[in-house]
Amino acid sequence: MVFKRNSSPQTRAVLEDLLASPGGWRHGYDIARRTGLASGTLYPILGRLSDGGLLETRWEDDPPEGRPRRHLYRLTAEGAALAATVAEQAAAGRRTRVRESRRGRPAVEGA
Amino acid sequence: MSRVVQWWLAAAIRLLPQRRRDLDEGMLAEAASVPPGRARGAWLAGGMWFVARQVLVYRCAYWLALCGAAALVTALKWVGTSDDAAQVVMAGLLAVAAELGWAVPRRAWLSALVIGSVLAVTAMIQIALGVDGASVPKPGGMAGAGNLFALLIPAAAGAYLGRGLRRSLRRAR
Repeated sequence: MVFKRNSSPQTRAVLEDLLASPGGWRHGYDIARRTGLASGTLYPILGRLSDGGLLETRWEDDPPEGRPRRHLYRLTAEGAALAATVAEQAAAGRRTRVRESRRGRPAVEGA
Repeated sequence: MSRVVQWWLAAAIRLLPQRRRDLDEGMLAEAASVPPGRARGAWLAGGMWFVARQVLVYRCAYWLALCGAAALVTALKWVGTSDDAAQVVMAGLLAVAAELGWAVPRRAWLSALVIGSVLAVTAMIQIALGVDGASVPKPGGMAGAGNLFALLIPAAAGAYLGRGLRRSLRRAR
């Protein structure tokens, strides 16, 4: 499995972003814009996800005149399941932090 | 400027294995959709970093590792003056050959050839240049140095052991 519990926040961001449009094909610049990642960070992540079978890729069929064909990405079933888990974990983490800050305790233990 | 970078990227991408090219070509194609100016410059700069790292990994890493391993074995032989120096050199030679055979199984033969012959070749060069040192076989001269080609056998054993381990592990998965 390419994804580990301690995977980078950037990888989590890409997974969550791809999960936002399940089944839809997305292109690299769109993902970069929405996640705020630079191309040098985003593409290695896409490569790892693709190598791990979490992402499927294809080339755009009919690009408009004057623009090169885009390479498109979408989550596989396995990738979508994993991204859902990641999103759930992130949401649970956010809820915990909000609860702790309301109680007036530090959000990070030991802080 | 951006055209030069795009040309450089396209040329560098061609150095990559076919199976790795799609992602890089996709990144390059996306540059046309990024607004010109700083944003496109940043996109291409990130792309250059990404492609350069891959070229390094896929094209240069093995050769650098091979040179490093050969240098390590030569250095072990060069500095070894104790009674058990030969055993240390043999252990080092076996270890690096096995490591290279594991890392790049399809080039196990080349790893064995380079690691196994490096000591003989360096000894011959030293003799030819008249440089003395622990790595020059005494007595024997050129013929003694030639005998060091026998190290091809343990180097091949190490490299093919590494390759075999890697392949059997892959099959087991």
